[in-house]
Amino acid sequence: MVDYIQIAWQGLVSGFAYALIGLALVMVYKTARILNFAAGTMAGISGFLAHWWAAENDMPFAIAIIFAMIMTAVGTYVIERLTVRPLIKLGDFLPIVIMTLGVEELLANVSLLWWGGSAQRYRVPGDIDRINWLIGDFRLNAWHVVVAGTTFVTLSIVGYVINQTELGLGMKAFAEDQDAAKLMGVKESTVSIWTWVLSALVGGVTGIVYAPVLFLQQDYMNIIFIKGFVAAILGGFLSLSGGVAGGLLLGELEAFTIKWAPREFAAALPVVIVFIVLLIRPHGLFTREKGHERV
Amino acid sequence: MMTGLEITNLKVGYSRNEVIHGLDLKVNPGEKVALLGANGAGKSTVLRTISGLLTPTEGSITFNGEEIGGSNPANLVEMGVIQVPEGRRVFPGLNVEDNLKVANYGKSPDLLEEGLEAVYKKFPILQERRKQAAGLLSGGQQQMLSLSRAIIAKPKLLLIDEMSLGLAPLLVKDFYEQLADLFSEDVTLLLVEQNAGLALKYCSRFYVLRNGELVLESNSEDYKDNPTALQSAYLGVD
Ligand SMILES: Nc1ncnc2c1ncn2[C@@H]1O[C@H](COP(=O)(O)OP(=O)(O)OP(=O)(O)O)[C@@H](O)[C@H]1O
Ligand SMILES: [Mg+2]
Repeated sequence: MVDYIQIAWQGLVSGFAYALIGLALVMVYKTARILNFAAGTMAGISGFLAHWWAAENDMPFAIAIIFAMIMTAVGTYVIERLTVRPLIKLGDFLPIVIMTLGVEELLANVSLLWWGGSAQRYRVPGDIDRINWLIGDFRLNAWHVVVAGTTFVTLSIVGYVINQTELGLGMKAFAEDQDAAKLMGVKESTVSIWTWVLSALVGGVTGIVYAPVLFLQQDYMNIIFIKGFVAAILGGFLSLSGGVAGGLLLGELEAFTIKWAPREFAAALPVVIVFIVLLIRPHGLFTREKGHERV
Repeated sequence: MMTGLEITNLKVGYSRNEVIHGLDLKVNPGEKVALLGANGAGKSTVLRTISGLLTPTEGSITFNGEEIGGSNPANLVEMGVIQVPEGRRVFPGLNVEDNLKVANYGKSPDLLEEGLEAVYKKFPILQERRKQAAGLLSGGQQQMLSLSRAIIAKPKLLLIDEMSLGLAPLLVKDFYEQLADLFSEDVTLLLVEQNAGLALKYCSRFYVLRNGELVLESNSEDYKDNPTALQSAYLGVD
């Protein structure tokens, strides 16, 4: 029994990462109809920045993270203004997606130049990522608890912004019907910039809390990005909570597959799942087919 | 300077495809004017341009003396240029009340309270359904919601696009009869319709658009009893 709890917990710990990146991707897609292929690399850079300030500039751990988040927000603002904004006016899907691929490539190379290709350990205060508690036979890593807590807090903040603020209402309205939202006074540029920044902050948090788990290396968030993408597909790509649920589900499936099947199979699992889901429920597992029609 | 809406030599279209070929149109302050025409004549295109969703390639649009052609829709909303779009365009996944909240976007919550109260008094069914997704409302209820959003937005220039679309004739008649009651007397109105009979009853003047050009401009009085003449203006048969 403890065995299963251990696997389930392991699944959750990876699932949180997929859920957060899935959420970041869905957010931008839902409101702006843009697939952000740079999401993973952007998240990785947040992790690098936090590490850089803490380890190489002796900044206190928490301050370094705050700085990294501020830089993430500012950097994303610049990226949105310089690359996304000019293309939105053309009103075409593909150019912007290709642009995000370009941004991904650029950022990946910048981070390679800056940090080199080697893996580094992201040190956390008290090395708590190396502390393991034993509760009976259940092994609990202290940093994993931090990961879970951070995920919970991040999801709560996003939930609050989306459901309780005027900005969130504007984002939802914009996601439902861009023109109608504009006709009600919702500014496209405001919604777009905040969606990108919020999404990048969610990604940044993920990049930072998972850095100690994954080791910092040039493309350490790529694998999370791919699985976050799968999470988003599982959730139908248009539902924030669907993306989160998809991430958690994928984490569990993966954990239990590793238990019962060869590792190689577990690596192929995301692709297999996407294939099956797209065949059976192209609109995702957690969203209903559009129940309404528009005249 | 209160000069109402003035459009001169407006040319606009989609990509390279010009749809409106030089339109002149005027709605005086407080006046109710209809813009009529058959399917594809370009009526919605005109409204979308006034609202800032499309940018004119040529010509000018002024509202109370200020040039508004090509302005940001949000700025126009702030000025009081409000459109009730064709097909109602409620936010289907948002509940009724959130739909109404969006109409108060960027304005004080006090105004929203006031607006909600007014709207719920006029359409009690919306209050009953206020927690229900707007996509689940009937067509008529969606039109109520769409009009209610405009009420909350406090229009100075109101643009209504084919309120009759997809609704039962009796219901449409109801809406037209209510219009005067829903919006203040001094709201300037440009109303797009295919159903000339209803529009003429409500508007004192009208324009007919065919293939992006004006083919008729007249007082409603002159045509009230002669719908066939209008019909030929629509279709271009003499
Ligand atoms: N988004 C668009 N892209 C390209 N062409 C468009 C677009 N919307 C409308 N058109 C074209 O512009 C012309 C005018 O369309 P518009 O919607 O303004 O007509 P309308 O008078 O409102 O018609 P209806 O009574 O059917 O609503 C039509 O030929 C239409 O095909
Ligand atoms: Mg139309």
